[in-house]
Amino acid sequence: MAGLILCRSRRSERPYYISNMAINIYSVEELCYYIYNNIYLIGTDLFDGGLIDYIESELNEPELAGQLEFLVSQNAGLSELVITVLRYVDYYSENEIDTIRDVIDRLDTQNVSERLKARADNFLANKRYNSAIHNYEAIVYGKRDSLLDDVFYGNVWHNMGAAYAGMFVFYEAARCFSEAYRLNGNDESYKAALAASYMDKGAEPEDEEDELMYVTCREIETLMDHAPEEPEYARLKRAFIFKVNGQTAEYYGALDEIIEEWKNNYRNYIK
Amino acid sequence: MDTKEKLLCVGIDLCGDYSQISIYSYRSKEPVSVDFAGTESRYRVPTVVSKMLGKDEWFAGDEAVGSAKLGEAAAVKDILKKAADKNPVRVDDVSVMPIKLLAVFFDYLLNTAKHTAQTEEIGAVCVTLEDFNISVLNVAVKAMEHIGIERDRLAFASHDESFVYYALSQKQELWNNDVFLFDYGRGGLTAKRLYIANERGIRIAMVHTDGFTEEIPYELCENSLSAEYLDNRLKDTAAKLFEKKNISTVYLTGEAFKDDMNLPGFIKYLCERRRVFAGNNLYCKGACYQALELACGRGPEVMLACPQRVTTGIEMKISDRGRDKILRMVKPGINWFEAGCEFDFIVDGAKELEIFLSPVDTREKQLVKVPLTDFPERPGKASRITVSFSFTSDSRCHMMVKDRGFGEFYASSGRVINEELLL
Repeated sequence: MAGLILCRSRRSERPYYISNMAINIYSVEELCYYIYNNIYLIGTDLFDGGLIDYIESELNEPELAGQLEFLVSQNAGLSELVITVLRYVDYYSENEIDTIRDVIDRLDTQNVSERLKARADNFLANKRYNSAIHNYEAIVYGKRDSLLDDVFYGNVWHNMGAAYAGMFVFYEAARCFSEAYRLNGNDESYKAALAASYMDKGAEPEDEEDELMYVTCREIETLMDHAPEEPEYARLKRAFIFKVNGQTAEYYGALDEIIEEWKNNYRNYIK
Repeated sequence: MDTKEKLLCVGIDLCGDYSQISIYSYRSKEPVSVDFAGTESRYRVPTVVSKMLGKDEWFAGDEAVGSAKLGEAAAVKDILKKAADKNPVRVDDVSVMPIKLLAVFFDYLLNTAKHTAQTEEIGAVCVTLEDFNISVLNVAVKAMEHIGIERDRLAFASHDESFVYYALSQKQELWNNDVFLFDYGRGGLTAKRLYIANERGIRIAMVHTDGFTEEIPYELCENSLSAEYLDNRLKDTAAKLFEKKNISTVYLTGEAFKDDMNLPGFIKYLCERRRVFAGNNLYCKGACYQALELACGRGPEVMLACPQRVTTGIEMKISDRGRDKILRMVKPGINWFEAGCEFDFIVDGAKELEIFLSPVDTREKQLVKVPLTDFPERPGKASRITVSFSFTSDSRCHMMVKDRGFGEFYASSGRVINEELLL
């Protein structure tokens, strides 16, 4: 395989803003990439007049714009809209397009809560924690679906806990994991609840008699012991070496860079 | 009737001392020289501009020479040399860039063409130059832009190319066999032989040039005492050049071949079973044919492989809807100044670019591998690269590969890979 795909349409000067992911796209290839990697996040509302106008005028693809306009006017489903875009652009192979078609078909058979969870899980995987929490909350505080069991709801609580933990809100995370354990009875949720509580209070939970708690605390300690081997820690260590060597400007430069990155990451979490 | 057929197509022969223009006549289906009604010559104008003293008013051609003679304006000669130097020029105590000088001159030429054709809209312009110098070409492009002629309506050609365009735009019986051009100007005699080769089913026009600038200098034609000697020299030279060749047509151009030239032996020899034409507007008319091709797509159905034309195609292996395919990025037979191009690709696992250099005269292709290892590793299909080619001559190509990132998903590293390709 040559491994190079010719871009047949231009990259636009003016981007199109996709509010769902808070991202700008500049080409049909980027649109395909966005759709493919965020299939759980998108709905037919993505293909609105704004996107169709953008495809026609900025990307200079009137044919694709015309096809989408027609499909929208006929109330076409998500699958048809997505496949139309992916097929039009030489970007994904037929096999890849078939895979995504299966995903969309599966989504179509899921009920509202399952779709919401899939959407929220995708936000979680993309570290869009706040958006993930909003979707999980809609499930757990919304109308209970009688077709779904406690394990499903427990797993939703668990994932919501993971989203809170990602934002360092350990008190809420511990609460979610506890609720998750109550519903799904999964040890993972129990251990996560203990770990979140440990991180929240900065000290081991007091009940030394609980074996699972004991094991979890040792696991956390092991993780802490290995933290210096993590690349993030090594970066910090390098910055502090500057300080020890009296290279003040370099030290503050490195710290500013790290802090700026943390801030940017956090801004992304809470978008 | 196709509206394109009404577009004004202009050929300009831009020379250091005098220039000419021709426009395509849709009625007679050939270019016609534009009459300047000048004092010295009707069909050519001095390549001179002048600036009215103390005013921002410019003249060109005969008017520029005349106004300078009257002491009303400051004349600027050698515009092409100044364009090649690219430095500002002092005119009437004002610093002027060569772009402005050429723009004034082009504006004058094109206004004359429009006036002659009784039209305001220019379809295409082709400028032919004896010295195909990249600095002059770049200045000329900007000068044309300055007067509203965009790049897509503008072409450039060497004198060799204009000769080929002129010759191949005539009836085929005039170029069934070889075509010779004797160009005898102030630089001495040059002979060009145009012949069509057949390579793997493709007809290729080649030009071979022989210079006799030292043996037969221009001064020989100015001295009436040496007329007989010159006649013999020209005849002998032609006989040598024509040896074992089938020749359909011979063209004579250049100042030495005047209407009253006294070269009976040479002319008689040329006319033996050959058609002979003399005139001083062959390059200009050839350029006009090229302008017509640019505007209406009508050109010779032969690939040009004369000097200034790229004779090696540049191809690259790509994926097209999952299948490997060869993409031709630079087509052989194109003028090197027009051959620059740019393509964007999505990297889908490629670690290197596979470039094939494909000369027109051989089946064998040369493979050049350009590693992409300097670019950051990203997930498949999440890197956009721009591959561009620019030429500095017909055999020298600069290839540039730019990492474009992938929108806001992956920022560009700003890294660039440069590669020189010798064709």
